[in-house]
Amino acid sequence: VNATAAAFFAAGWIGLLCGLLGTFVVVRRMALTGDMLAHAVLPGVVAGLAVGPDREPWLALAGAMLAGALGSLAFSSLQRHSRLKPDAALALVLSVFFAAGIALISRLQPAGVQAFLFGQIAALDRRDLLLLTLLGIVVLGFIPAAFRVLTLTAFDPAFARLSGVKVRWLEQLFFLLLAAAVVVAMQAVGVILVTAMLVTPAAAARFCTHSLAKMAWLACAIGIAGGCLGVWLSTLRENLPTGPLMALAVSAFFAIAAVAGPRQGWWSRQRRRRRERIRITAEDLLKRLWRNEEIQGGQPGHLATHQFPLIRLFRPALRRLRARRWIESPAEGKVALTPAGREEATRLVRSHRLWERYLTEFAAYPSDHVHDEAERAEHWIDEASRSALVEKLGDPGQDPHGKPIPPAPPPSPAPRRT
Amino acid sequence: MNLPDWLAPWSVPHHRWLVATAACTALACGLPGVFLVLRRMSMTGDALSHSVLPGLVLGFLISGSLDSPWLILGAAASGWFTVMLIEWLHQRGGVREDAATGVAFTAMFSLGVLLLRLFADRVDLDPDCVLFGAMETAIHGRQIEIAGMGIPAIFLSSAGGAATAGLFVLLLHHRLVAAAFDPALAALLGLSPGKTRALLLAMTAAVLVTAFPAVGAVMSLALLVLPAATALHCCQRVPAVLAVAGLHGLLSAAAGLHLAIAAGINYGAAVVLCGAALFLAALAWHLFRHRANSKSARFSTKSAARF
Repeated sequence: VNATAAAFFAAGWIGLLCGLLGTFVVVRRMALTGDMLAHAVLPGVVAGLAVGPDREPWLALAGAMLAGALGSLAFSSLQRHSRLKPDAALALVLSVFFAAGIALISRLQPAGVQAFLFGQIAALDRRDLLLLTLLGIVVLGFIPAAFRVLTLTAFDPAFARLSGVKVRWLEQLFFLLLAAAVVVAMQAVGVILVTAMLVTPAAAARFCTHSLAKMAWLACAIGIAGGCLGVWLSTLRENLPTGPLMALAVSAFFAIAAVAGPRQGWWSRQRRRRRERIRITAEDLLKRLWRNEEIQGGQPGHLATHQFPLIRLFRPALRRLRARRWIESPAEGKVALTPAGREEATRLVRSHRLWERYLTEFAAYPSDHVHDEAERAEHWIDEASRSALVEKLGDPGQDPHGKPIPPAPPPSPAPRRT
Repeated sequence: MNLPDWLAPWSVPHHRWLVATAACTALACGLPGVFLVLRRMSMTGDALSHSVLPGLVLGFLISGSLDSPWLILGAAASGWFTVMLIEWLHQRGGVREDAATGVAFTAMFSLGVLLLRLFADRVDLDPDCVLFGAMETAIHGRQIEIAGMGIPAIFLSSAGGAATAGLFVLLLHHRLVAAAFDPALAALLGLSPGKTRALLLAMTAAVLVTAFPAVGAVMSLALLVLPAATALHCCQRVPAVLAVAGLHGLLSAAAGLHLAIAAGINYGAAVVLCGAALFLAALAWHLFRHRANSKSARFSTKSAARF
């Protein structure tokens, strides 16, 4: 087999495996448990390599599974019987098992252990690739087939158990597959960076979607792309380490997703927040115009911008109001409410005054403390809450300051908020 | 000298230096480690122990020697950056803390390994040493002449680490305790728990710099956690816990020598395994006492209240 093609093949399979399994590792908050597993399998791998002739990958895998099972047994019994909190128990098992692995290495010095410690994707031979492919096929079959029960177990294990899912069996099976994936990924990226391949693609995918299935496939795609990108980068120059480059490639994808991810990325959250602030400023503006009409009887006037706390949102807020045809400009520099805008503003003032009323009557607020509270709450009170308030308050005519609560306008054709 | 057979390893001078170095390293890690474990920040220690690597390499590239303050500065800076990154991802980015830790420290570590390989001709830091530590070779390495005696440089750096950690714990004891157990009270008393936490992390990063060349990234985590875990099963009060943690470091360094020679294994790993054995003994003792106590608890609430 061409060595470069084999490396790309292995990197792709490893990215796929780790992405699929890593999705469940991340949503179950087991990222550091995965890290622990990656270190805990080391003594088993070393023993497996030392026992068999010619670094038999199946023996290494068997040893790794045994050691991984021992490690997680040690972790759970430490949690049950010792005073250690989970973090300390994890750190302890991780480092002690790793030290045991190092001790075995220095004692037995088995051939081929370097690949497991530092990752040498070029050193993977036919048997390793066969093992990798088989494991990949098993995982590709298992995860989609068991997707529903895995999801259920991840988010609500108690309910899963009640619904007849064999939670323990499922977890053992998942754990076995995870341990196997960790062992094959180790040979490509090294013992420490397995965590990167397992956790980083899934954590990156989480920025992009709320659906678990989409997250799983996206994590796969990121794992494959990152793995192949790392291999490609390492061919550019002599003496570049493949494992760290693969880890850095998936980390770069993570950074991109963290900034530009369409759902939870920094940029889209920032944009959502800004839109919400614009809405609030626009509503404050509407209310101000309504108050002007209430006090002075409908003279269109200038808006005093200093009354709005988020002044840099003033122009976008005006644009929003114009776009909805809630305000108009009868003369240069002046604004006035349109009939639709007046209705909208009436709803807001109604929310404000009803809430003030509610706070004084039911929450024991003094009447001079309710304005600021209502100023915040009015932006979040919808039609249903207003009718609930009216029902509770028995249709009060006035707010605590003696101002009339305006009657409800006819229901608006489209819901205002999403 | 006439030593009994089982003490024979101690007659070799470089063995004695090895034990002294390991004991100082274990002491240096163990003291801040107690507070890390108490504050449930052990895995932050794990993240730190890996992420000091790029700083170490950069510090080495700047200064060109393994024992210069640039290394500590670089390592503390990269450790600090990682902790900030984890916190930013967790608090502002909506990533859970475990995933944020896993992402951040692996990225930093791989950056470190990449730098190490790129500048392999100029950095005298063996990639093997990242995982194994290189105490045995370092003992034979550079010596510093003090009062006519050649002292290994690595011993001096680990002794410096231990002294700094000891001073740190002595001077900031009440701050550290208050911030660990009751941050709200600490804030009320003007002991600024946020600053204390930052100091603790900086101290941890600094001792990890001395531990890293000696035992490598993962086993320095063991030196952080094992003494504290052992001591927390032996006693209740923080000064006693600190003392037992220090004792644990000394004992495991000494016992490690015998294990390493008897089994023919890496000395750093032997120290960790001896430390783990001491931990298991402490845990067994704790369970035994606890069981006895919970039996008598039916008759006396007084003794049960101690637990």
